[in-house]
Amino acid sequence: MDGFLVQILLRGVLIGGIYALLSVGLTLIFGVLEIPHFAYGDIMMLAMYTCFWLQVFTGIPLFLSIAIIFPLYFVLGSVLQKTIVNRIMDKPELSKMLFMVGLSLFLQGLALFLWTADTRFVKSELENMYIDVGGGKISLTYVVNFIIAMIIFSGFYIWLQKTYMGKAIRASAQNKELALVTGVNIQKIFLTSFSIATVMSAIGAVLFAPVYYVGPFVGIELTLKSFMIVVLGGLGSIEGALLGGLIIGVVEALSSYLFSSEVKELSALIIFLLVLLFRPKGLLGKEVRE
Amino acid sequence: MIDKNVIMGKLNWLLILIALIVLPFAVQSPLLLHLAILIFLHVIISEAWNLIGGYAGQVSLGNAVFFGVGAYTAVLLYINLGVNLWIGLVIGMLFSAILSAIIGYICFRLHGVFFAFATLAVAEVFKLFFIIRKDITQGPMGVVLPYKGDSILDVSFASKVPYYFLTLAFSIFAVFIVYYISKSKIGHYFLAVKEDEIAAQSIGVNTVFIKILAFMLSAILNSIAGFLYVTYIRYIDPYVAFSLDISLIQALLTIMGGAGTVWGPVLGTIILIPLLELFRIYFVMFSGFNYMLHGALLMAIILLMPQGVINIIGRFIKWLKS
Repeated sequence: MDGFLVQILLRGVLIGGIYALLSVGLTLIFGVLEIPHFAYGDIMMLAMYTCFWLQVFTGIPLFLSIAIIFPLYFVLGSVLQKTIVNRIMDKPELSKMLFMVGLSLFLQGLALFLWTADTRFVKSELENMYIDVGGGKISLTYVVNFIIAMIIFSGFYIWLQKTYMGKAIRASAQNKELALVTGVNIQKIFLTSFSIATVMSAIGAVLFAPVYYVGPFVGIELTLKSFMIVVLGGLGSIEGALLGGLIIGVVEALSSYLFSSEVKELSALIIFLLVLLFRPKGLLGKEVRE
Repeated sequence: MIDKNVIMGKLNWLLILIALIVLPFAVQSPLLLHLAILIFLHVIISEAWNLIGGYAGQVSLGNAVFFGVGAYTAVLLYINLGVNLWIGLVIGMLFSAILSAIIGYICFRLHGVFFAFATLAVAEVFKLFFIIRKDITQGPMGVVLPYKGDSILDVSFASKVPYYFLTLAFSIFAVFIVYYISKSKIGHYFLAVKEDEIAAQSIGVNTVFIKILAFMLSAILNSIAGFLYVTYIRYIDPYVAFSLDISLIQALLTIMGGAGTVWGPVLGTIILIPLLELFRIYFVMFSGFNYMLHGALLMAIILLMPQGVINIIGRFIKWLKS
């Protein structure tokens, strides 16, 4: 029983790490571009399909598809920012959100049209390999995907802390005018942030796909999940995304163990609503100027 | 002295009303009647969204909660306890009003995008709750409202004509409410909250109360639409009742026509709903086109004409007159 609980908690943590990676981009887009990216999950949905079709047509292992998806979604993110997102930068916040809702619906329709409503599953080579943990077994998929997610997440974190571009991005997230005054090329910041965020979410989606499913409507679920995670941790905080991801991961694992898979979704939502009400800035969120 | 323009204006409305009443007898086509019923239903929910989103400026993405509550309350009371559907409608409206006050009281601590996401999360919570509590709601399988022959008491008709008049009556009611509010002091409070909440507060407007009031009205109209929907389609399940689609279509129609105007949502609905429904019926093999159209339209409207179609028509009429 206790060993089982350990296993459940561990699985929650492992999933939580993947959650952290797939939601961290949203915090970047929200913080730097100030765009409520409602189509965030739909880009992830596209990445999941890309991964699925790569598997079907080429049969390459999941980890190799990351090498393809990285540049592909960097370019996609750049194009999206240049062609679409840039046009709505000066709109009011709610218009931006509704615009992104439109993009989300469009992408859902596109996926439905191209690939039908069938639910598909991405396979992982490690699916049937297990490791023993406290009397229970955990699929190696969880462990390896967690490790990859954490490596990429840390890389991203270090990049933000150490490089000039990373520092410039953090500066613009804090205060756009001041960043501009110090000679930061804000257009380049927007472009880089959006592209990097898109890549992070796409890789997160690829790592998440084997333990989830792929369909035209997973996007909205992923958007809501990412939003919950970054708000829980504190919007604009990278560490917050990690904390939020872990919390949501563990809460989901625990409640699906104690109750059922529907209650799992419900408990995550209720935790999110409670945090939103009692600590709207999130757990690690800093007070920001209004 | 009687103003000639006023009489002419009244006469025009009377003519439109007569045309709407004669229409179902003139056209027998079930498809056209179906389209008309859908238009009236969507007028109700888009005017509902217009109150909270258009006038009070609070983007709710969870209005489907009240649509679902309106539909489910009447149907479940009717099936399980034998309560008359019309009484169920009233109880559903009451439930929606109370629920929206509670949800509003909690969610209006948040602003803008956060309010929108919170309402979206609330709608998800309701959907999951209705799926989980199979003992009360019959779960994901949904509830069928049995056909009882032609009966006003059971809101059950073989022909589409009675539904046509039912939905027409309630859509006129919805437009009238929005019209009345836009002319009243409350409507100006709504606009004040939308324009600048802090400024409104500083001149003594209880902004939370005003927002909750707008939300309640919006909720009541949604629950009426939910009731009409379920009596017409005679089936409801949690995925439809609490779907994001229902929350979003009302926003789309309102913004398309012109948010914060009385006739904008009506215009948006008349333009868009037949288009979307015909698309749905005749392009079944291209499933997904509907969503793409929704999305593309929403993006295009926000980019090109954020004031909505009604603004363009208004400018065109002015240009004609000058």
